[in-house]
Amino acid sequence: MGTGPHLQGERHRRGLPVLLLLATAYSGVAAPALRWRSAPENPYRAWVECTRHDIQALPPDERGRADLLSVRVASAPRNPPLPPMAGILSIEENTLRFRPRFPLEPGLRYTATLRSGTTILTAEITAPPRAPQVPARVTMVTPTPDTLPLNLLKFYIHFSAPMSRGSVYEHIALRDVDGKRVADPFLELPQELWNPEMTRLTVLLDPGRIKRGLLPNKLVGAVLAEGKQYVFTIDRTLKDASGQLLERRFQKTFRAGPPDYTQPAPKRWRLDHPAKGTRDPLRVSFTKALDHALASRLLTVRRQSGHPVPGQVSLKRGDTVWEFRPDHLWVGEAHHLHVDHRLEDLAGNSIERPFEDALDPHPESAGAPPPHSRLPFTPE
Amino acid sequence: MHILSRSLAAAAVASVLTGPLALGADLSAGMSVGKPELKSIGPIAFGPDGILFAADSKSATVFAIATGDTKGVQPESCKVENLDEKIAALLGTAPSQILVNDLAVNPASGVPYLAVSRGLGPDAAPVLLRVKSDGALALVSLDKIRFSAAALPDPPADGLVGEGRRRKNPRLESITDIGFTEGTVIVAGLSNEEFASSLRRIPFPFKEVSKGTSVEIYHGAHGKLETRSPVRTFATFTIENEPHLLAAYTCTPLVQFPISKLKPGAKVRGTTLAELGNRNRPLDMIVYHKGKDSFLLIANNARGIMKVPTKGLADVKAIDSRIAGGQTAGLSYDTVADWKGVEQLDLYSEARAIVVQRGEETGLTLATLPLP
Repeated sequence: MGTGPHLQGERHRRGLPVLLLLATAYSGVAAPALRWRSAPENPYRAWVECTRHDIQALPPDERGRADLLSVRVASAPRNPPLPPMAGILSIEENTLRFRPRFPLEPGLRYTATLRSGTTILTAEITAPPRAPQVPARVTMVTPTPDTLPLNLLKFYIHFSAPMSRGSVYEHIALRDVDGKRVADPFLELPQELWNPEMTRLTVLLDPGRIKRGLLPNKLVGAVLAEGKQYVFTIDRTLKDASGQLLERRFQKTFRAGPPDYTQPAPKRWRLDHPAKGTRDPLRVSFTKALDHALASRLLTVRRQSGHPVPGQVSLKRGDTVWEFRPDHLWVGEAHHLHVDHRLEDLAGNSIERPFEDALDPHPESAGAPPPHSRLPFTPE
Repeated sequence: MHILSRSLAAAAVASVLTGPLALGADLSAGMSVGKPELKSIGPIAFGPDGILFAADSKSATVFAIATGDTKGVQPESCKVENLDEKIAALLGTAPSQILVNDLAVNPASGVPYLAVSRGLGPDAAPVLLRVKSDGALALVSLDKIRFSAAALPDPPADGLVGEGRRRKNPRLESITDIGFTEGTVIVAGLSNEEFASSLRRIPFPFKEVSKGTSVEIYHGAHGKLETRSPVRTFATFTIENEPHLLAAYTCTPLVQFPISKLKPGAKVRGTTLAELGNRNRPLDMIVYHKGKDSFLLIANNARGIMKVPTKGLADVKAIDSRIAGGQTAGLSYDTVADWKGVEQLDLYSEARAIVVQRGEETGLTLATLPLP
């Protein structure tokens, strides 16, 4: 522990710099000292300590404790002031300690204030800025084909690093080739459809405009018009999880083709069998492009026992060819491709049902379609 | 959202709602004491006895948390200006790092609660706040609290097959709304991969291995086609003594169906009551009562607030013909013009709604507004 208000402990030197430490309206040999501390391994996990104080017990109420020792994010003076940071105040071994509930935010300045009798002490800290990182970039937008059905349902945007949410729809757009924005093309969901790592965003085109017979479809029509060229753009202004802009703007140009109201038909897929004793890929050729994410997840290779065969999947030729390369050599026994019928094409038609289903007169008694099917093959 | 809060307040004033609300039972009896490990906090809703249902999309779990906040005197109104700045200050961060995910009023105490994300990236911290009677914000500590949890049914299994070397499962279901009625938590979700609706009923108190039940909800469009479209937001309403769900779909129809139809694996087709119009995205909805009449209040991103009289809901015929020229079909509605920028909505009292509004220059404001 230090012996005066200007001193900093060893851990302090390795951790955060104390920018200001003032003791006012107090005199005496053993002046109380207020200082910031931080965990050596994590400079953002910081707390405030006061030693050599004459406080015997903590005020019983929340307000009294906040009046005694509080931490505020430094900001322009406000009347009334913004609330202090949430945290826990304690007295342990004669040290008064305030542990903020949350870690410090990179680059922000915080002021701790202790008020006891005539004593007012303040200590400031500036959390170190984030270490510079390579800015995130868009690595891929799927579907990959250059021609997409005019009733296209979704795009997936893949990023090289975790992103931040809250305003993505302000940074993506659909434009015609003259640069004119297509009005309201997306289903803007406050939740934003990210994967858990926040490296992939799903963007749905407004289903109300896609689905025939609904008001938006009737009044403004489908989002896309057959035969026209479009540019789907992700602006550089979209921020990654560390708050940095994207490395560069990304755009995908495509043409709107005819609408697709047909369901994927696994029976018509072609399987190119691999040879046993090799790691050659099993190649499945669809009759049209399928949803990239769902084809990666809902098609699995299994042995006769039903056990999945581990391996890597890739989609090729405009998402019309699915390739599976096993981690181990193929064995010459019966296998099958397990096809989950939730698999969709680019227009949301699944194997189970089309995106727009003809109205069943007895909807609640209709038998459920099979949830999956098997396409057999044997490496030879 | 927040069905019970509506239901209780509504029941208190109009006795329109029926059904056993299990108010006498100690619903927190089977809960354990500890720290609910929320990875995210999305929609929230209150049940009886101060029990909060918090949807955690990231861990595909619904948490029931006994807040212990079971009584209190509610101030007539409530206003918190610069809400995002104040939340940021309390959480020690910048306002740009704050997202208010939902708002719900605890009917037992009248206290508004806010579900907040601190941070915008994958490491964002889920935070629960309450608004004290003086308008100050307080963090609700979840370190040692009575809670139970229900994992959502059919969570996607981690496939052994992944793209490239990274074999993480990228599927995530975002919970779009949650509510409690008739001893059941109702959860609406939307996947980031397949386009399908899932509406789940999870009996509460949660059983040890409660899997809940998933049903498919369709709406028919104009008597020709139907779509298994996801539900965006919903509320409950009683028609002829039977609780119904009023659900706004992602593709704009407003649909009703009896909650009793939500049975495991069922395929339910709702009656389309109205189309909420073009370029219109329903964000939140509540049911309230005024005198002998009741109304549905829908917050939309484009049309502002829509007030729909529910009189004659039972008689509304499903939309089965082409809509000529109009903006909506089926039920008629009024636009509440002076409620601007409403992002979150709940019923505050018999006379007031509570909203989170975004001003063009003022950031977020929490305010109570007289029910129209």
